[in-house]
Amino acid sequence: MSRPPARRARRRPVAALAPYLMVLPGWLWLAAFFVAPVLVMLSLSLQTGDFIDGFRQTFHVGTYGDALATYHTQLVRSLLYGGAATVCCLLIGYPVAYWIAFRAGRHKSVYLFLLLLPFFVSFVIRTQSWNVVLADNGVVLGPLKHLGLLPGDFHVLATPYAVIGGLAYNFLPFMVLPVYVALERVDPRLLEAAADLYAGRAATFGRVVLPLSLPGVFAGVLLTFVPASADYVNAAILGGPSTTMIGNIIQTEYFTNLDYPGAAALSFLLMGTLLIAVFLYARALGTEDVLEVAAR
Amino acid sequence: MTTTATPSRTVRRRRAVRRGSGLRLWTWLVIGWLLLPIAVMILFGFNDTSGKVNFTWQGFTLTWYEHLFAIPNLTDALLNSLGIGLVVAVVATLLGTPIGMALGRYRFRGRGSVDLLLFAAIAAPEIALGAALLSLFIILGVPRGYGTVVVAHVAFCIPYVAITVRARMAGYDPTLEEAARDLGAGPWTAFRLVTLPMLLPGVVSGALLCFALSVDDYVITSFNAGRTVTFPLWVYSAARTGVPPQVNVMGTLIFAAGLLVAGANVLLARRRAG
Amino acid sequence: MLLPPPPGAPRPSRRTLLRSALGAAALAPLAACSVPGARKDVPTGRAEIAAAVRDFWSGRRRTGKLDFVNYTQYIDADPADQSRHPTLEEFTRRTGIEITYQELIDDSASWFGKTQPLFASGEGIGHDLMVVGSDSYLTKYIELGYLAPLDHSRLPNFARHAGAAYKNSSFDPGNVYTVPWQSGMTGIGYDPAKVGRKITSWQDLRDPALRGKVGMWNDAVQMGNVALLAIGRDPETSTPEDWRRAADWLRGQRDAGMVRAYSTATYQSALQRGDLWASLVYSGDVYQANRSGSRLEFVIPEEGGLLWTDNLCLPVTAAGAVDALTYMDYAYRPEVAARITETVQFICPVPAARDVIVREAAAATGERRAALQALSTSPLVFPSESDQSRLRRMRVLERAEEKQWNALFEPIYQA
Repeated sequence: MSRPPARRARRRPVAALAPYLMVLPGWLWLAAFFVAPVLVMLSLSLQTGDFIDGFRQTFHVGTYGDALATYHTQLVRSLLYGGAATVCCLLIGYPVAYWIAFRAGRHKSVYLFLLLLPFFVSFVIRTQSWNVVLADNGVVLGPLKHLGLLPGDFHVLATPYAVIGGLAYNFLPFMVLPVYVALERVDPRLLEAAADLYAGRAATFGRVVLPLSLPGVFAGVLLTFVPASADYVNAAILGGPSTTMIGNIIQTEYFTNLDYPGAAALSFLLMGTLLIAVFLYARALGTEDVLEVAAR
Repeated sequence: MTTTATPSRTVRRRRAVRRGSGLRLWTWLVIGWLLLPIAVMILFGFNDTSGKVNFTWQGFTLTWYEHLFAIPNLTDALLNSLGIGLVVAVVATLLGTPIGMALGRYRFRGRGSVDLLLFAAIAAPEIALGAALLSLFIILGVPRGYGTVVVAHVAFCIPYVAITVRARMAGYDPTLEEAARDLGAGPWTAFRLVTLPMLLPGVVSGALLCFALSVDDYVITSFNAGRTVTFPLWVYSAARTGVPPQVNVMGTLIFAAGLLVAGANVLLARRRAG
Repeated sequence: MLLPPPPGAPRPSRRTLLRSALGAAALAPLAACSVPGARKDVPTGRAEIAAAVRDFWSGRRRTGKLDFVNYTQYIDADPADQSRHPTLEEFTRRTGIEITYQELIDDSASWFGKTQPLFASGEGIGHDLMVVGSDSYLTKYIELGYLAPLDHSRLPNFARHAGAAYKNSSFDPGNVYTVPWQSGMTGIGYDPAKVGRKITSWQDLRDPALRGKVGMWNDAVQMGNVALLAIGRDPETSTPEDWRRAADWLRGQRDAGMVRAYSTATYQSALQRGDLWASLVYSGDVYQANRSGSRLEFVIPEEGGLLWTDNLCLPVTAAGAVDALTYMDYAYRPEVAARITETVQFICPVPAARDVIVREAAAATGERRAALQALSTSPLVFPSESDQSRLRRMRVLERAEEKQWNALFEPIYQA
């Protein structure tokens, strides 16, 4: 899609400053309450010592290597679970966003609201609820086992599937909202034009709707994959003996072992890995300019 | 706009009858899936449990509704959460929307680094961020409490607003606003009449998201709340020995209030539609 | 600029990324503020401790205000109104000291993580009295000098009524910094209907009949100590070699597919729903579950169970230290201890509380009488002599040992 050429450029100094003025307040806020703390964390990750004798800055990069050597399994697992949950969210959420954007008529906001409702219930309660719903002999599995459709020792909880399902459940709205926003912007007349040009349903979707919604999909993947990979609550509540994610490790390192440099290094490793994963993903989408995809 | 859209709307509606039903069913299934744990929560708000543990069904009772505010700490926590959520939604939307607009609309030096900043803010593990913020507040000698929670929540909400609004701005046609300016509208009027209405759905969903994120946040809050207790904080610590049924009831009432708002919205829309 | 960029305009992202990274690297030294060491000289020996007590308490006066922070639902509560705590109200009536009571502590690890920076900065946590478990965090609080030494001349009720088993423990010899709040046991909780037989030994948690139905914890301290009992060692006198064997025992259990989940967050509910058939539990868990309709049993395995104690202590920054000390002593009045025990159902450190409960039961009628009678004879609240003899205390770990311990036990549940 090419942009319509601007008809007339209004070059005024104020206009040139406009984007900076718009970004500035929020940027300052983030600089003070995100960048500064992250720098503190970065500094901490390079220190050595322990919390009784104090931590001293030694620019000890080795912490990163040690952390990676010890916990690469959990790091990779987090990306896999996060990725799987994201794919689930996309497959489940895209049709929903599509239907709401094009077919829900004037009730759009109602449906969006319904999708956001789970957020008003604390995530601890929501996630715990799955333990009740999916109990080994609970309302879902009990009857199926009774009918002989499932073997008696079948269980969903305490497996990787439960963790991935929990992640998908918790982050689905993060996928649906941006995709919806992108789809809602698509001019329905474009679809009619496609139909007038004898494009089939599949062709209309593949050539018109899908490409136009990609920015929303990108944003959705970002908003889902990143927090899902860093989550630790789902693994803690729904997981089994081998479902530990990197978030759980960071929590243990920080709280239980009081190894602040180790915890900070792991946090940076996680952020770095996610950054790389998102770059690769954008590359696969066929764009080299990663962080601007969503803006296009 | 509305007049030109009318014929196409009828066309669309006819088509919707043919094709929409499968997707409609799917949407309702997904909504059902999202609401299923909430149904469990509602059910257990009526559970006649005698102990602290509220996991197994003991019979029906309304007693928890009668004694809804029997735990003042819990009530305070709920009010704190709702208040913080509201302030955070407003402030983060005011700060994040212009960023999203600027990113969606202008190419400027440093745009890439703003992008990177937003992404990093979302990618940062909450636990590390919470801990780092606490260190910062301590270094600055800021006592933790209501204010620091708001500050922290706004920081993690800004990127979400910016990204949502930016997605809305993508493909925005700047000629529309220019056309308005050519027709004599001042920059503010052009913004108000042209850009803002186009942007509004993005802004509203961004604000809703902020409110929801703030009300639901546990990790960052737990580090920076000082002696302020929010709803998730209270529930999380109660979960150690068993969440009292009042929590279920409060969840149920919030949920019901949400449904009411949604219902009112439908009625309003109907009346407007005539 | 309103002009959209011409197609093929230079893409700033990679360069910007590099620049931002360099910028961050350049800024890092600025933020390289080292975290100061927290070590204090902790008094040792009778004379030094007595001097420290004098130093701390001289010139301190009652403030009329007390800020008490506790674990959730860990004090008596009015059955009709859970927010009212009769013993606290009575304390205020008797002494005129206003109490701010909050339940902010989830577990000792996260509470330490949250409060340590506040202690380290000298700012203090704002609470005058807090409850800390008898685990390695208590040792850290003491070692770091975060706790005030107690003036035992003002704790006559503690001297008179505290049970011998709860005085002078290995984690705080001489009760210099702490007095017990409640004690409890860690053992095995199981559902006899599911298991189909009696569980008597830790080895039963490796019985193939229970494969995939056993709950263990993501808690290195409890897991390590339990496993030491399972291999027949007393944790308090165990050697690092024993720890390795204990870890092997746990790994064997894990590799045999016995364990459904390692979680302190979910074992209670899973046990009640029947997803777990047997699990590590605290003694109070089983009582609570059975009150809500379950039929679980608690067993102190023949190799021994763990006895732990949560303790009252004063942060060194407490403004209302005298008020806190007054409360500490008040909590050791048998009738107060009895009322707290009635609600929380853990092991009461005041043996005389049992007499109070027996007396009250005799005076009461109907349901309340039955409940009080059950309480006074409950082996979970007032363990018998033979049960007591099978209980072991947890290992108190030195700092270097703790590293070794964690490296052995954490990988088992963090796989």
